[in-house]
Amino acid sequence: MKYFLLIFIGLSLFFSACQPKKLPILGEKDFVNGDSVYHTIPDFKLIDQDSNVVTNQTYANKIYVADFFFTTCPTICPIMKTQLLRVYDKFKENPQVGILSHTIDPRHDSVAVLKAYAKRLGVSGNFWHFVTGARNDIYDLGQKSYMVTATEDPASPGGIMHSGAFILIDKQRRVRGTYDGTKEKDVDRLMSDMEILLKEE
Amino acid sequence: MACSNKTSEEAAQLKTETFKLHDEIMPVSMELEGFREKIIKKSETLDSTAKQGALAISKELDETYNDMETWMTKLGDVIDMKDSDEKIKTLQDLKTEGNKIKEKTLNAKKKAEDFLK
Repeated sequence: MKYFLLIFIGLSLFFSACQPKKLPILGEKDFVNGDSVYHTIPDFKLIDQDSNVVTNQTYANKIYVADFFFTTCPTICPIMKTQLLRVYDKFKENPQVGILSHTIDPRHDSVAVLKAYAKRLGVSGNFWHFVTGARNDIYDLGQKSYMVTATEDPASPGGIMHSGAFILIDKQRRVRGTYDGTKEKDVDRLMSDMEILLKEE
Repeated sequence: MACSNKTSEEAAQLKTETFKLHDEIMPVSMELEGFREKIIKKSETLDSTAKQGALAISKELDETYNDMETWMTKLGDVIDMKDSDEKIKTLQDLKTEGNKIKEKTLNAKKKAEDFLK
């Protein structure tokens, strides 16, 4: 009997280890008619470095990484962009992946400024959109939609909007992970989570 | 070699100090544009004298914001420079300028808050 129990435990452990890892779904959850309804990124309409309109449709059937930055930032943004370039280099050929970088300084970061910034980073094509728009729209989107699990850090210059976070969004517009974009190890974890997310049905 | 180490240490120290300044000014600077919008909105309901006051504060917020933009761009450029006497001199100048911008930013915010009371 003892052997059967050990075999049972062993098999349970084996099969549970074989189950693909699933990322959590972050943000508030509601129950509607017995079904779970998760927090999702609402509709948005922004303009990218090539003057193209970028909306949720741009990311239909894609997972994407979102971040908030500004081109004149001398401190954390260059580090964040170096880390995002790693994501770009790894996934740029994958049509199911994208990057969405929102400027939090739309007054300065015009389309032309964003274009020059993308060029300086060596970014081309439709994989990585650097977007601008109405300041209030971008801040609302950031604070109320993307940074759903972030808490205001009084020590962080610029609060949660300038905290260096990368946010991973799935194909259903749900937040699946947040990462410190200034830390290489966190970005390693992001890239590994992206692989997991791409395997989800 | 010792001289080059000293230059690098001094440049690193100045980088830390200017970044600290950036981190102190930045959260306030990010609020200025919001203040400006509120002031312009409020000024629409005021008489012409009060409107002039609102305009002056709005202009000051605008200038302060632009000063910070310019300062950050210069700081970003100098950080990429190779450690040298020129880099140290530029960082020292930027530290002085940054302290002035900090004061100007806090003053502009205070004026905006007082006006909006």
